[in-house]
Amino acid sequence: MKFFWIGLFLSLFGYQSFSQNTDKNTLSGTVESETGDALEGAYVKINGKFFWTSSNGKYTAQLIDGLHEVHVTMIGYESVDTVVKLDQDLQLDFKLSPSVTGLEEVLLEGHEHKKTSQQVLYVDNEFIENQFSGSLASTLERMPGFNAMQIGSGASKPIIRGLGLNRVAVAENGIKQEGQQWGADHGLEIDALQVENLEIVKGVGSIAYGSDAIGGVVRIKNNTTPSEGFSGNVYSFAQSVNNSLGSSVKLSYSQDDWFIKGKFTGISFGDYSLPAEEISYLNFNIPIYDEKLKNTAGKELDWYGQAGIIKDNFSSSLSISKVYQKSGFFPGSHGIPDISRVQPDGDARNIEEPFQRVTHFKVISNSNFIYENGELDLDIAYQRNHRQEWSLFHTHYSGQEPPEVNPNLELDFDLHTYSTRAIYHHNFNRDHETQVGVDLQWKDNDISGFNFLLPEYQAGNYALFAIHEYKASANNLWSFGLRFDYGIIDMEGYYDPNLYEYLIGRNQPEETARAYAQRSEDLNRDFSSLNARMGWDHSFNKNWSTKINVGTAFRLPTAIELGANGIHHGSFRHEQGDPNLDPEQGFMADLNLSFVKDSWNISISPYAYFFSNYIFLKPTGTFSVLPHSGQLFKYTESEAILTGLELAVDKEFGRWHFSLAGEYLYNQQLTSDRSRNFPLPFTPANNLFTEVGYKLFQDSGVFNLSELSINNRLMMEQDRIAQGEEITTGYALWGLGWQNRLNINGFKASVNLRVDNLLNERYFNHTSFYRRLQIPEMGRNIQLNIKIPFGGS
Amino acid sequence: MKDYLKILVVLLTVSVFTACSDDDDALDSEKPTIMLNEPENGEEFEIGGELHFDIELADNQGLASYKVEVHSNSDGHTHSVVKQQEETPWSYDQTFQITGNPLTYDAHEHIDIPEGIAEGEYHLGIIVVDAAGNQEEAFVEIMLGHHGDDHDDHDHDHDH
Repeated sequence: MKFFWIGLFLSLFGYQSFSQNTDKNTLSGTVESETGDALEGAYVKINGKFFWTSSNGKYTAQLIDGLHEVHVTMIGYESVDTVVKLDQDLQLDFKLSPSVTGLEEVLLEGHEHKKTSQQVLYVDNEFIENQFSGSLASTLERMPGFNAMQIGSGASKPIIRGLGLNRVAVAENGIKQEGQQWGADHGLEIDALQVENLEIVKGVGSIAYGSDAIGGVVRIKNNTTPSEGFSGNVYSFAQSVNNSLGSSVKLSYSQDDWFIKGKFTGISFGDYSLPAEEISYLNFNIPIYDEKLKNTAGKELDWYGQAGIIKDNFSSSLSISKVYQKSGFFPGSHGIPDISRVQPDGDARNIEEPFQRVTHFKVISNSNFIYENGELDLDIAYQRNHRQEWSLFHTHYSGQEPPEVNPNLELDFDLHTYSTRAIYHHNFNRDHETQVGVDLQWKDNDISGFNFLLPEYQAGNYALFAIHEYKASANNLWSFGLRFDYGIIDMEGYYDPNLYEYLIGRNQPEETARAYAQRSEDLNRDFSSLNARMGWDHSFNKNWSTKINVGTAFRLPTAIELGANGIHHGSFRHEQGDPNLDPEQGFMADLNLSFVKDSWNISISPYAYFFSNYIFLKPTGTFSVLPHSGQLFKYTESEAILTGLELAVDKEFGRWHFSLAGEYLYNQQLTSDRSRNFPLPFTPANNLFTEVGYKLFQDSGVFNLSELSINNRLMMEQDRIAQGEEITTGYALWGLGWQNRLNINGFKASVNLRVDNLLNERYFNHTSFYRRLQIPEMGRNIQLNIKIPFGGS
Repeated sequence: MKDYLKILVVLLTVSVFTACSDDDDALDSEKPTIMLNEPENGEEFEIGGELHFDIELADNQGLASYKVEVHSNSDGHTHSVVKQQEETPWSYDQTFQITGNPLTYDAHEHIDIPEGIAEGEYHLGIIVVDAAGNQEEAFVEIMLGHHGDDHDDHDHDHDH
């Protein structure tokens, strides 16, 4: 492993010296307004690399010979696109005409790509549509340091730096998404195709987002102002691996100072194909008929509506959305393996029991007030996450009768979350800005179903925070943050008379039976946590820059960690909470070093976390008395370290483009006994993603931005496993892509063709929910997507 | 300031690389193994008679305990649910400690099958845990019934 990275560094330096031998010329010029005024700070994008004009409107770029796409934008002006051929030094001047919608854009986009000391990856809707692979997190998997925890073909959730589940926060328009994140078989209830802009903040985001933002924050921004008049697009895709068909329609209308938007997505997918004829689970060989995994079909139906108003000193938007997902679980390994349930039913698109169904309804109001030296953001939201798991009624206690209503409803969690966030930004002068914020959240979780896992609870979280940014010079930005959280949780006890009867029938003493039958206790806890962060963004010169962050992170224990007690059908083990857990507390340091020159873009980010009490499920070595269960798994806290390194390299050579994203992870518990220092669960293996692309038809009027690419995703063997996990062998997946923007006599369309897992490799994903069940991942997948825009500019 | 930065870069890089050379050898994450000699998948036993099992357990560092359990496989079986209306299905579990953490252990036990239980398909499960807490499980399907009965309504078309 060590040699691999050293080799990589050496080969990078090799590339760099090679690049210096190619011919380079200077492209320079000025950007002016129509009236001849020099424009400072105009944005000149050349082949994906950014330059800003100086105070006299000048820009300069060192470029290799060949064709270059130049894109000039400036807030308040119409942007200009052109292609230049460079074989000698060239001066290229631009005159920009003022845009009509200029002022509105200033208000909304003023904060985008703002300099920050945090490590942020920016993703736009176009990237998501090009790379779409069924769900949001799996679509983003090629980003360095980002992995997806997959659940079948239509659901996934994010892992940043090996931290997932409740250790990554997802926020839309400033409001944290609240579902049942703790479950490995629960996906993220966000419609990927409706995402307008997205930022992946790596590292601790605790100051602004509070509990859970330990590994990072996925920040979705869905309130961009649409272009004037009526505009929209239709995006459709088809996938071969699960015969998936989907379509997303986006419509918007904007006039004067108001706008409305509507988005609709429908996806239907069938059972997915995998290159296996049988799988082996708990000593059973379970046949897979026609290489299709039975009952993994699903569907998704989402809508989103937004209305907004933009005034000089005030802007506001109201968004209402609903995500509905229904997908089946493979019945052969749901609980005890059973061959009779995997016989083909002749229908690859039906969804039978067991299946999960989840509805996420959300109303978000975002308002922004502008004052002379400051701004106030006020976000108010209500969201309801209703998750149900259906399975034919079954019981392990002879006395239990099926419920009269919904006899096959196994688990039902109904979580209502109310959030309010107010942040006041104050600019003391050009160099000092302070934000002061209040963050309030109230959660109410109801349960039903014939099985018990998670108790009913109410939880509140109240926080005050402040962030100060000091721009010491053009090359130095300091940021300091402080946050205090106070949280309460009130859990309802749950007594299970069926279990009591069962245990008495099994000749257990009455005391033991009563203790076990009390599945969870009434519990009232309160927590507090104080967190701080410091960050520094520094540019050494125009090529080298760095970001350094140190800080603390925390997470309030979840209801499941405090009060679970039962057999989780998905993981098939007795999981027990610990009502005495404290908030998880971590200390983090990370560093990013970046080099930008001549379309070289290299960044290296090492990081390290120390947790004083990392909470995870630990096997106790003692058998549970519950039927069907092996040993008892208990939520336990342990000191732990977690460290890693991310590397990203991008480079263009003429029409060739080369990119690489690598990730190395290492973590372990720290206990007094070295033989107990096991790694932490759900850690992705070290991995490397490489892509080489070639631009086609550069002079064609029909094919624009056409690029053919080949990629490889290399996963090393994961042999550093937590107890209860299995070693996952390494694999290499090949993929092909061809993206195009067609323009046929004014008819425009984006057409993308992609092949994933080209060689139909049989592999396991260590962080997939199906890994434990020994189910391999999806086979070869061919995907076509077409987007047709209409209206607008 | 630049010197501090250089030191920090070096320290972080070194710490990441040295983390590779870990001492994982001390960790036992290897599961024990279960060799189920008896019963075989689909084997039939007499209600009121004896169920015997013979298993070989092994582990790289030391076995700790195992659990045997029997329960009806009524889940998702419409015909067996109908059959079991009259009599209650049998369920059994027993934990056995393995003293001295040996590397191999042969378990051979006889379990009485009580009278008056529902006949049909059952699961026999063996779950074993080693000293480090690694767990392995194995299941077989067995038939419990009355010999001499005409199994006219007994429809077992499973392929084993």
